[in-house]
Amino acid sequence: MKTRTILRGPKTNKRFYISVFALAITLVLSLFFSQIIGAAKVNITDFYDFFMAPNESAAQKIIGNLRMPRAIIGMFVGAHFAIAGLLLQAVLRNPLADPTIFGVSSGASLAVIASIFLISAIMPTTTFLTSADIPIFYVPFIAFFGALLATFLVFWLSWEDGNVNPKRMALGGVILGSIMTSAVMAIIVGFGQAKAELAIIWMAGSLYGRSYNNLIPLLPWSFICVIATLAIIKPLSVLRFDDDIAQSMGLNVKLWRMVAILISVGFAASAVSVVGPVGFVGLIIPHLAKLLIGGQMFKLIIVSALLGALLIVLGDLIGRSILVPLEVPIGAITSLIGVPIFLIILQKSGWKLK
Amino acid sequence: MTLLAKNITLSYHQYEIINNLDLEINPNEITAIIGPNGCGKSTLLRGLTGLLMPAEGEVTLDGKPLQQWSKKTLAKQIAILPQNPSAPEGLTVKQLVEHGRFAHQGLFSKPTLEDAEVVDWAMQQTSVIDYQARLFNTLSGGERQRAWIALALAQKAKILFLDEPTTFLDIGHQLEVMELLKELNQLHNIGIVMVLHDINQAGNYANRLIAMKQGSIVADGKALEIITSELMKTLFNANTKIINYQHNGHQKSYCIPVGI
Repeated sequence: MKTRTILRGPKTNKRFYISVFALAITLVLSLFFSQIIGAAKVNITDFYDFFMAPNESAAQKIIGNLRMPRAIIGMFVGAHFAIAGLLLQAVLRNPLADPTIFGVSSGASLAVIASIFLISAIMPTTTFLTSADIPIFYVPFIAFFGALLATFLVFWLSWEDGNVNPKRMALGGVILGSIMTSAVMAIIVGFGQAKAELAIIWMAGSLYGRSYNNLIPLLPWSFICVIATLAIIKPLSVLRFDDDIAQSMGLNVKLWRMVAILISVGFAASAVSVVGPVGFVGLIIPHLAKLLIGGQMFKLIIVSALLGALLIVLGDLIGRSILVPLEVPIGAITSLIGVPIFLIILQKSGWKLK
Repeated sequence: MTLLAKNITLSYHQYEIINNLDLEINPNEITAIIGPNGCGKSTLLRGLTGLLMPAEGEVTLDGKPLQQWSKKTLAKQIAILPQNPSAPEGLTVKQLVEHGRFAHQGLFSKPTLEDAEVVDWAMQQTSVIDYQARLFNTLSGGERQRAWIALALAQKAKILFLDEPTTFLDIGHQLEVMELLKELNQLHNIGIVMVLHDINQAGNYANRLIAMKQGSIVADGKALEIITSELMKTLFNANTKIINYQHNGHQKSYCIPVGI
């Protein structure tokens, strides 16, 4: 009887705490390095002075106006995409679920691009996704609306016997996603003019030129979606089982699946509204988290958020540093890192795609 | 506690599988549903448990139609183990079994001492307690099935429904599962209703056999009374020889297929 208490939890809990600690430290380090590495020279002393002896030097302006907001936004959207993917994979029981694959990101993109170009057709400006375009506070709402519309369409395509068929949802999402991405490209090419280049960079998923103005509209979404996610941990955990067994355990499967998908759309769409569709974060991070700390929902959420933040901050740092003075957009970096990692995970865990 | 199906019609995709069926389940005994492939056994199981709502008629538990029960209250009465379920990745046996407590917990409540005790009890009953810290997906077929039963037990339901619980198991593990179910019924007074393929297993362990064909019940009663060559011919279109024998002082019948 005594051995039983020894056999349970502590080992996996210890692993969780160590992982969180290690990830937090690495994240802080990456945030630090993202301030001093880049095209323009910034020294460690400049970084130190930024906090201890603020002045108007060029280096401090680069930190304060460019690199700091950029890294912080990266951290937030990374966590957003990662949790969005985790939620989607859990409720659809599909290891390949990801906001970019399921049409969520492209729906958000289409709504954002269409509304920006519509507005600039009325009031011509040459900037892109700054407060000159549309009040930036509204952009996440427009993205959410577009993503929601896309999600409903995908639901409608995958409806079967009063429930969502996960496999049809994957197919419908991919097809609808490509159609919407084509529509976005058509709008950019057709009406882009001066904005085409910036819009294309945004479509590739980029942190370029993001400032605190972009961060503030994102924060309420982060707050609400995180609270909502933590509130549904138990149903979310049960949702990962087959429908029949989940219902047998007392779960209202349809209701909670909808709630979880809504939260996932909220996370993904608000992140897309700031940085564009960044793929693969939501796809690979939950798997990495699972390998790291196992399958308990609460732990998965925390570790996925940290890993997602780390991936974007580091990925952006790499994107800014490898082709100086050019920038590789973060979306390209996550794809470059994401594809091989995904293949490795796929190989290791021996998933069979049914 | 009474589970009663009144005049139920069950259909999938507008195909009627079961038409106008009446059935009462005794929660104190082991009931086995047998019949050929596609006769509607699994559909009946889903209908009796509220997983599939009848197109006509109703299934009532203690006089109240299943759809009027809240999902959580119903889960405290009825637990279902479908055929060949899949588990989320990365869960240990104990973490899997803990999910069985879902119906007993609020959204924000922490697991209580009672939850922990029930989970331990369920794992003990099913003898999975010794490998509770192992990852579920590393277990063998027999161990998995016992872990699933532990999950269902953790619900503390009064009736346990199982869809072909012994399929994919070797003979030893099949008997292990059947003995476990018998023990749960006799020692803990948990009603068992299961779909079985093996007539002899059904005859050996069930107090009551329900034989189905094409969505209707063709025979219902004790194994000794209803297992006959004629019934086997009707059900499976197979010629069989029924052998009666004594085992541990009990009269048993054994059905041997001899041809078609």
